[in-house]
Amino acid sequence: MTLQDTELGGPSGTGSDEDADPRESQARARRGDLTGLRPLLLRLHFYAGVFVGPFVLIAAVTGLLYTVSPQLEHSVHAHELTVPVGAQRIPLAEQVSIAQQALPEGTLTEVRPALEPDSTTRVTFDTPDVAPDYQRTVFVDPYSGEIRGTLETFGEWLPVRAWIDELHRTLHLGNLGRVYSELAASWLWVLALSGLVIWTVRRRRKRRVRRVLLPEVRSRGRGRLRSWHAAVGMWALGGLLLLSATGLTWSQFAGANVTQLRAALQWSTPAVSTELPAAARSGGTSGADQGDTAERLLGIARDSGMGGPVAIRPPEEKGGAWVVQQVQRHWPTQQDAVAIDPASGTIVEQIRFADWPLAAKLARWGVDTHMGLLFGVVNQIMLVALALALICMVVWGYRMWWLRRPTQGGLATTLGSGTRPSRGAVLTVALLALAVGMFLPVLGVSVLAFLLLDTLLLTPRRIHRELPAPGDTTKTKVNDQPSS
Amino acid sequence: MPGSLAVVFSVLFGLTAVYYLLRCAALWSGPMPGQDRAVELAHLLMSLAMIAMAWAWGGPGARWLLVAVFGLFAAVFLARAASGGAAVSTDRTTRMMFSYHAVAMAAMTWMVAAMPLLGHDHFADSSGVGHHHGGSGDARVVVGSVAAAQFWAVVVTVVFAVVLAACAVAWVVAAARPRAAVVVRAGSAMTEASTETALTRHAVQDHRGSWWHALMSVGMAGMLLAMV
Repeated sequence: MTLQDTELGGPSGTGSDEDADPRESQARARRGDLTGLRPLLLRLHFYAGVFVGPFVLIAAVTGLLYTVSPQLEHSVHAHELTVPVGAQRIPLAEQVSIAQQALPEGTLTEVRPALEPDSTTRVTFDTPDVAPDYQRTVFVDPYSGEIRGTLETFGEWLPVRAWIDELHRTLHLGNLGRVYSELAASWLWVLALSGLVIWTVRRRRKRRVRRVLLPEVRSRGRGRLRSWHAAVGMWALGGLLLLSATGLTWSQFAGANVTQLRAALQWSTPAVSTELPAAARSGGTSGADQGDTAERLLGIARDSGMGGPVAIRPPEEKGGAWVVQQVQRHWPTQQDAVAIDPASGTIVEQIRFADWPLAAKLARWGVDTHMGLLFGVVNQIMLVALALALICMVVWGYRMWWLRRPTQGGLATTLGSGTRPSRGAVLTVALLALAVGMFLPVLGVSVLAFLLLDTLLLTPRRIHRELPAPGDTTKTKVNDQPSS
Repeated sequence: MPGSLAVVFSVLFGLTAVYYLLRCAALWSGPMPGQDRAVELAHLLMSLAMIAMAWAWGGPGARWLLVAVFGLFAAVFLARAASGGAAVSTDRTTRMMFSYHAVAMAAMTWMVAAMPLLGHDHFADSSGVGHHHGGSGDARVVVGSVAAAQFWAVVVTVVFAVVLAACAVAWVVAAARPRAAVVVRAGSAMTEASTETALTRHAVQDHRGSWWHALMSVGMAGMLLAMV
């Protein structure tokens, strides 16, 4: 039986990595190359799985809930979102004016004209009585001018989706809660890639591809669970990497580094400037004029070729340009934007989605896929499958750990601790962990925690077990160890 | 302290970081007799933390993370010193070795925790500052005084610096001892032939490590003095 088979319990799944031939592992350690990477990855996969598993599980469960949030939102907020189709729409300026009268204390931030025949116009305001990052949106019937409702919104999310979104991102625990999702996102790609290497480098003589990609249904016990865990992981790999990468862009600590990196590489999402030349600056538009301005600028943007759903945004400071931007996030993505001088109606800057840097496009598509927006229902089904796969893999992982426990009781030993990694492998992983840990701080800190756990808890036990006491000539295992 | 001193500290602790990284890799790939992973890992983390502190890298949570990590190491080494060490020997040398490391870790913990008391509080507001390479030297820990140092904190810091400097001298003396004497002494500890070879090898390694311990001690004493 090969070392690899032995480590993972072999085809029957009854063995253990503790059974590995020590002479082979010691010889590998002496070589100093990367052939000893596998035990290290096993160990990393084990620690991350055991300690980060709960966070990944929570992210998967809340993510599963998030996948159905569009339908839930449409169901819960149907009254605000839809209207009976009428014969004639009233002007956009009038709709905005009605909304402003409903929220006189608010500052207009965005207008989204109704696009579908049965949809409402959304007029969004900054108001002092909402949570940070939240706004208040008035939903206006474009036919009758009736206000269908006023809701507290988070971006374009209505309360039900905003609540689920917050649950998925922070568990409603504020910035402290963001660490949970960052921990899950930081480790998901490590778990996925380490699992890939561990599973694919096993030596198999027969039906290699089949045994990598499909579960071993004839196996029993831990071997069967492991094959399901690994095969499902193989199929979900691409999706897991996507979720991890896009999830990190929203994270608290790594997200800041990602933003800096994107800016440094000029991969940032392009945005039109609302700055106007000094000569073109006017005093800005008053609240009463904003509706007229929004309607006029929408016409200009439509004339310039901007179709589909759009958001019209007044400048944050008086005297700046208004922005009209496409907001279609499902395929084909429409994100063109124009900055328009409200006084003259001149387009001062225009950015087409087609002209975005490829990295910015990929980021947009990646984020929209993560949110289940890019490909509609197909996207949602894919995310449901990914979430279920993750939930199963975490549960199977814990079940395998339970099955590895000593029969006399107690917890299972660390996977991969029975074989020695090579020096080159340790160095490679250490340098990688250092570099990645600086970029993804939550991952770096958790690696440090694993290292301390491994060093302070496991080493003393191992030293007692392996090293000879003074005068004890029976334990000679130490003689075979390489020196530095 | 001028930026050039930060460069000096970075070079010094960069060297120790590389050395202890190699030691960690050697240990993880197969333990050497009498060597302790915790000791080598602590040295590696100390070296990296020193470089980070010299350039004020780290966000608001970094201080408490470092205090927790080095405080934990100090407690572990203190416990091992009290129990005669977790490894093969319970002799006086082992106790002294763990006592030294407990003191060094306590000094490190103090260095991080006492920054505000000494007028340096870069961890509170410098998130990302260190990434702006074009900035002035004001971001460095040793320059950005924000408050008057407390007298008692200065005294404690100086005491730690003096103790570490004395340790450095002791390490230099240990390192300067003839190597043959060290090897013979270690070899006589065991009668079993092959174990004797391994221990002899370890003794030579340990002898070489004394120089690195001296370097670490000098660097730490220097950093402590630079803070007052």
